[in-house]
Amino acid sequence: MKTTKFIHAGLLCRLCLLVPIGLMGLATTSARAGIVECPAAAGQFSVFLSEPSGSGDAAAARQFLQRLQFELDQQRDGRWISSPATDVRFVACFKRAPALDGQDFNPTLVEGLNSQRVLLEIWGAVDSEPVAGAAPRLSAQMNYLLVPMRFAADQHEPVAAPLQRLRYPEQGAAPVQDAVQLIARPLDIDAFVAAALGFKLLRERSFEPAHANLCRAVSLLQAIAQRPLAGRSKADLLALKQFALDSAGRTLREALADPSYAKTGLLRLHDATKPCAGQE
Amino acid sequence: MGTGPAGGGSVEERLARLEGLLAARPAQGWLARFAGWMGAELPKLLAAVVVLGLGWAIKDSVDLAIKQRQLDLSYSKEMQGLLQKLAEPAEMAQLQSTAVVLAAYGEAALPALLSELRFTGLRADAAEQGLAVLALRDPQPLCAALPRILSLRSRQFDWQVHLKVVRMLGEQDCVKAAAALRRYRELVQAAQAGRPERFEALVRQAPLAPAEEYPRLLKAVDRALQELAS
Repeated sequence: MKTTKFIHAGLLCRLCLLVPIGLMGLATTSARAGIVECPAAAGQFSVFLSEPSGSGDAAAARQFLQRLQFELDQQRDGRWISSPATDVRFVACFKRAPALDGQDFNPTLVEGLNSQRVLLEIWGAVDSEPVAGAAPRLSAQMNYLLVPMRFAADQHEPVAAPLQRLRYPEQGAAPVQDAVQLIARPLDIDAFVAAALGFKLLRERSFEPAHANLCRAVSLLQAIAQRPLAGRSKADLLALKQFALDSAGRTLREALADPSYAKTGLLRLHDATKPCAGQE
Repeated sequence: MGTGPAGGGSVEERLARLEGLLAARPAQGWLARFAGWMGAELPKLLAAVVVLGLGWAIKDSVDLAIKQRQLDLSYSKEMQGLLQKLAEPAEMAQLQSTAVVLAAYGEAALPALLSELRFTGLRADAAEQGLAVLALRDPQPLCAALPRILSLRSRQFDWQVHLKVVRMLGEQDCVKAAAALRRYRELVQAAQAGRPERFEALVRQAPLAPAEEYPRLLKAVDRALQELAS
């Protein structure tokens, strides 16, 4: 557990160093909406980091993505969440800039992503508003598409909103002129990865890591929801948190009903009515 | 002595009667006269006429086949540019429109589009759309080609391609593929039951999440079989 905390604290620090460099370019990225091929990490879970839209040059966006991907992926020994048998890799998707409203993600595309074990696709838009006599004020809308949830929704299964949107800075927060403070939120990425990974592992019937990730998502989403978020974002986030909790309960029920689940499995110690008791 | 037409009388009388009889016989047809005139050369002439007739009859179809081959060759050269376009990194919409244009070449584009299925991701999705467009004109060539992918041992295709193939067979109403689908179902069912060797011998890479993917494949096969039965 100490090791986990150390990894996350270290990641936060490294992101704080990385993001200012990257966001200088990100805020000036050119508008190139479109889906291009992005190869998923073979045999592993992937998170796609797509180019943000805005205005500016492609080279800056490319540099940003490279550094972000390197930071998230390489500098953490290939591990995002300290769960056994789960290896999540971050993939920088150059020239891939989905439409802000997510309309590019048709069922065929989502099915392909799900089959390639892509958990999350992150993209968004960064705006720079000029302020007289001061540095421009930055704002961003970041989109997080939880691929396994979207795939399930396409199969007409009941799920929470698979496309989560967060605006930075949050309502009521002081104007932000420093890009680092704007979107350096590894907690947000961590929460969505945990939710998507937990749900995907549940579908793959890897019950123990599924349960661990779903309960972890519940606590991280709760922490995000305590921030002053705008109306629909908050409602969607709370619905996702409830869905993660329900899925954790479903994981316990399915594990206990599965004859191949170990007789000494740890999930047998949990109460399905309070699936994340002690972990929230 | 004979009592026939030549019987009785002097030799002159008898000859006159015979000549009279000959003159009274109906005249021979031109064919008989021609055959009589050709004599032993007739069979050779008949053989020559038969060869000429056959040659005339098949000339058009041979010409047509040669022209078809020439057209296919010229299509191949034209399609090469489109295939290179599909291989380049491009937006999803552009790949799809390229595949649809490729499909406009008809049956000649079938091998190229099937080959594109090997590339998982946007290229395979575009190829699937191209094949669907191709089947709008005539689904038969597609229906004949697709079942083979489900039993190829060359391991060129992923299980995701199998999923696409199964769906296409159902959607295109490829009734003759029902037996191949049933055989494929047995393989997947065995794999799901923990005997994946025969299934894995067909795919480039085994499913990473068998507990999720095998039921998906089975569901798709069952749906396709239902579509074919209805």
